[in-house]
Amino acid sequence: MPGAGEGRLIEDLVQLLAEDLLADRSVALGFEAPLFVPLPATAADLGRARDGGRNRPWSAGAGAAVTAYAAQQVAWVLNALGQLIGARPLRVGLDSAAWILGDLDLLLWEAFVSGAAKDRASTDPHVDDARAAAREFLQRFQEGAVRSDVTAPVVFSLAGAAVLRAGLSTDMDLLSQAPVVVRAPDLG
Amino acid sequence: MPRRTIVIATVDVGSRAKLGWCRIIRSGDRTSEDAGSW
Repeated sequence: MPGAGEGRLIEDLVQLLAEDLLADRSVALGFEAPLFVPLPATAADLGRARDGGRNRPWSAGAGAAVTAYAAQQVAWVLNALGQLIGARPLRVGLDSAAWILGDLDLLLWEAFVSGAAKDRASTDPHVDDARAAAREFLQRFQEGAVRSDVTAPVVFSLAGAAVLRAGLSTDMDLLSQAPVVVRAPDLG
Repeated sequence: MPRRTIVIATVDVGSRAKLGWCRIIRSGDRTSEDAGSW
């Protein structure tokens, strides 16, 4: 069943999120794409999957393509958001615990929707994917902690790079921080 | 549990053929959703 606002563009979401932030609402913005890659200690581990990534590696097939799209689209969204926010100070980060405590205004996180979590009968699967991930994030928030389903010991953070590129923070440590990854539950 | 208003949004990423987003607003015990395609 389509929602009341369905059919709107990404620009509309950016506008809504800017209004949310300017109204002092805490925003957790997820992207359905890998937002960090492992930074391995040895060359032999280059290209290896992230822990918890199941059979959806960031470095091959659809994962590789969407990682490339994310490098551009996440930065675009954040840049557009920053332009609408203007000079208003914004606390932006990747630490879900800090966001839950109210120490961040904007949290970036990674949505992971694949396999049995996808509704194959859906007439609007991309919206349903986004909805499934957002609802799972909300569920974990209500439980008091947003655990991550995908990790790596040391990372290069695409999300952190996008935050810096958009001018939403000057904290270079963001490049080394992995956003929380929330996997939508399997249907059934 | 903090009682402030929170917004949870998700953006699908990929080619512009048909992608989606969802936004959930949680304020107290009230939850609302909207969504869109791009």
